[in-house]
Amino acid sequence: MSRDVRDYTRNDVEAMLRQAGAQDAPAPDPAFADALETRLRAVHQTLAAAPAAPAAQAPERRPRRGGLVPTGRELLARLGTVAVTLAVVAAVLVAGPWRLAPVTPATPAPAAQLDDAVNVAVTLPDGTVLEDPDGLILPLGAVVSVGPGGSARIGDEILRPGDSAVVEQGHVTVTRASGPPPTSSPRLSSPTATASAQPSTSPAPTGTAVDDGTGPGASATPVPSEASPSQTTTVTPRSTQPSATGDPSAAPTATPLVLRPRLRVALITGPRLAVTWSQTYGADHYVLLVTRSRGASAADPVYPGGMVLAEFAAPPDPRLRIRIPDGVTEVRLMVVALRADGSIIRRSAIVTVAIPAPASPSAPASLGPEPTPVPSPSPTPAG
Amino acid sequence: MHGHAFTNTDERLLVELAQADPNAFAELYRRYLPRVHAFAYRRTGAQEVAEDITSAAFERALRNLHLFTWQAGGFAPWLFRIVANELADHYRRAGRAGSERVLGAAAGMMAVAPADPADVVMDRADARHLLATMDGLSPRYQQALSLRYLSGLSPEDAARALGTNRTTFAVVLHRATSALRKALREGSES
Repeated sequence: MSRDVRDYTRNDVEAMLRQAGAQDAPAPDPAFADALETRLRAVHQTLAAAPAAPAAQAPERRPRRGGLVPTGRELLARLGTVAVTLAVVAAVLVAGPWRLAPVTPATPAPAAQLDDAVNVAVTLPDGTVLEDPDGLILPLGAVVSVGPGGSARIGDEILRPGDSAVVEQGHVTVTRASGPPPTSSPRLSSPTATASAQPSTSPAPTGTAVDDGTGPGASATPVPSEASPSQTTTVTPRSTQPSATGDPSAAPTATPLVLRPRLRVALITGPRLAVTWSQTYGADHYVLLVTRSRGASAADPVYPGGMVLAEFAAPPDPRLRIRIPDGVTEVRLMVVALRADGSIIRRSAIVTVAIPAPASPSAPASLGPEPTPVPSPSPTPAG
Repeated sequence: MHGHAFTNTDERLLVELAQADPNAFAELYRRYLPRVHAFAYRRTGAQEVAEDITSAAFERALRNLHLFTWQAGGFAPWLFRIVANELADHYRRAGRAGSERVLGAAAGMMAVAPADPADVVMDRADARHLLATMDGLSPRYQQALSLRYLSGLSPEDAARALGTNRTTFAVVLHRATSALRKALREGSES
């Protein structure tokens, strides 16, 4: 049926384009639509609370009025700009000694990092929801919500149950639930509005390695060798110090000798993925890459070049949880340990997780073993 | 193609309200979400990428809504221009697009059985070739083609979305189509 593309006429090309435009597109995932609306509402409230900085808001190039040739007024303006620039440069050169201050790179604003996250949900800009992502470097637009009995820390700011926070350009806006006033932070403001999705009240894996009754049996799941995180860690606020709670064996080793991050993933109820990895010596931070698919094999995560889900200052402890959107059938994950300058130390192996279809109420409890987390052989050598 | 469910006056009021009222923006979002997502999906051929593009575009629109000034054509050309920019940025970031993932998804998308086999204009290989070849065009040509054929906008609104008048848009579209045709030929010969 394939025809020789060299035969294509202009009409053929236009017909192909029209046909591509006439294809039915799937409706957006309702979960995605809801999550995005929630995040946009939260961002809207923060924008209303803090006036926007004009310089940072230019959305796009201003549309030209007409064709490609600049108008006379535009031409005059450009010539004027060039003349002024030349005059300034000449004045500086004539002034004698070079007095311009050395150019120093702009100091980036300190990244907001989430620590001591207990019963906390973070909605990322793409709608992905992470639960208890301890050590997460919060990306712009992320919304942090603290559930009942939970707590978290962003810098010096302590979030209590019901609080939420939105990461904005250069600052984090915290929305307090009713309760004690927040500790003051010069970088934080506190609008009164409330926002965003709340985390589930029982986010932790429930004991055994894989507790999903509808999916894989525990025996079929190569669960991480560590013991499962203690349930108590999900309901008891931890101290603000990053002390180990729950199972100490789940914490990264104090003096890591392993160069390669060992990624450990388990499928839990939700469906969600419980994820952590071992610490890598010399790593300044880590990026987590996740690819998803609906009905086919997910693509292998690639770094650099792939889409980074989140960035972490340290391996999450206890394991963070990633909610899986409806319809996703396979997920692949990879962690890359990076130096402070962004260069790669090592990549983890790629872990592929098959997401079982949700069981209908009438379906039998066991639908057969499902090889959930399957660490694949390393596809790439060390970076 | 996409009849306006509400009048321009209504939409103008809604946009003005949306600058201060999250509920009004949510209404705008719900009205345009299917169209924006469909546009992104047709261009990328991958649900996940389309969601990323949709998310980024709406957030960008929200953050810049105070800069929007009402013009003929209303809100849609402005919003779809943002989407087109996000798509262009996506392919720029990804370097050479046409990754196996995108191509595979595009092939699946294009492989939907048509109602009449006689209407078949392209098959999987053609679909792959078409999207991959579009990725290699200049961002402006990509935007012109995708806004005209994949966005569902009228020709007038597509021109506005590109920031041009109708005449200029026709010229850009003509050149973009020629470039695509030439690239298709070169691709088949290589």
